Amino acid sequence: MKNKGYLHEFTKGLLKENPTLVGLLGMCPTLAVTSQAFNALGMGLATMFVLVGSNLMISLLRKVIPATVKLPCYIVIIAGFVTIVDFLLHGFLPELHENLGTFLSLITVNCIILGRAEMFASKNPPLPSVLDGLGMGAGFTLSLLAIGTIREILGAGSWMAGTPIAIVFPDAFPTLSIFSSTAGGFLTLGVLVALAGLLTKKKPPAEVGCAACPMAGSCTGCTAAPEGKEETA
Amino acid sequence: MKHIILPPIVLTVVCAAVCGLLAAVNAATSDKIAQAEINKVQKSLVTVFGEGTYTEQPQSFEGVTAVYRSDSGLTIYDITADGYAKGGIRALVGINTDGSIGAVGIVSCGETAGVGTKVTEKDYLAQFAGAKDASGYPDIISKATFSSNGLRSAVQLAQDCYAKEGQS
Repeated sequence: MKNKGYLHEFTKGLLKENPTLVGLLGMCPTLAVTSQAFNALGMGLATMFVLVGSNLMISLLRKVIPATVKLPCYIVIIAGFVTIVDFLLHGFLPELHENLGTFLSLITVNCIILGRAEMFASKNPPLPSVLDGLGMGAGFTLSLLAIGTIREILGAGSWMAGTPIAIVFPDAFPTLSIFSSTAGGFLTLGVLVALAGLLTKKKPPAEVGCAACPMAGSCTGCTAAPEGKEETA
Repeated sequence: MKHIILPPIVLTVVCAAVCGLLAAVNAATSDKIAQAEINKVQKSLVTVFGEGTYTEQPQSFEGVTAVYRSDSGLTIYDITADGYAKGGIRALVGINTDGSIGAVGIVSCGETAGVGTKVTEKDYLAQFAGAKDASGYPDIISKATFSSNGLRSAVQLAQDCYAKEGQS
């Protein structure tokens, strides 16, 4: 990882290891708040703030926190940052705060954040950890914004409603209310995941026969194992 | 011994540090948050009942968050009712001096977008105006029975409270 440099730590989260569209992490906020683009953007940025903050703290404390209590420590640190975001949004952007509702506090248990803490920040120095947090956060924000944009335009016939840059389409614009509901969220997500797969040229998982199965030796239900071995050989 | 004593100490220190940080942030933002809450209600009051001054009244009823009186003589009840979601509808119900409905407005609606949120539409809310009792309420919206009933119960509660207030 060191060879690829710091830039890689940032850019990998944008597409190649995009937490939402490639990693399929954090599905709960992804589907819940993306019926409007502005909410999606707010959720993305709030998560990014928490991700960067928690990655930095956890990386700084990585040699101090004993392995036995690392999860409680991570959760406390993450929950602390989430509460800070909660206070700030409630005070300064009360409408966004209301729209995000419980999903704001649920950032605490967003698996992207805990995942990056465990997989990256706890093993790497502060600078790459912050870059990792920024990249993953940006990837998450962009994915949510894309889903939110598609759902709001198709479902409500507007974009960024409630903000100064709002665009409202005329009433004649046909809207499909399914895109405002969760089912439409899944549809949009599915299409974008496929698109991300295409862009990253990720091959579908190869068909694994009995031969390549690590359990082949001890698997009693599998009689094809010896033949399978010949095939691959 | 070290591996028994150290983990709880580290966890305690981390918790204490985070608590301290939160206390600081809370102190810095609590005024702002209180102001934002007041602004939100005042903004809704102006949107629903027009420009004017609204003063909070000392009365309190079960299920009613706050009571306001406008300078135009309306008594306004801030009520949160259950729709399809628990506490899904927060409505402002204004009662005229004769006990009929002046206007109904929605502060926030956590109902299903595109289905339950139909009860927040202006045309629907306007149909409540002038109703003396439940027989004058608009019909329940098809496919949004829970949300409609939730809103009706909020309006009903406001009228009940107004009736009680008049007797005492």
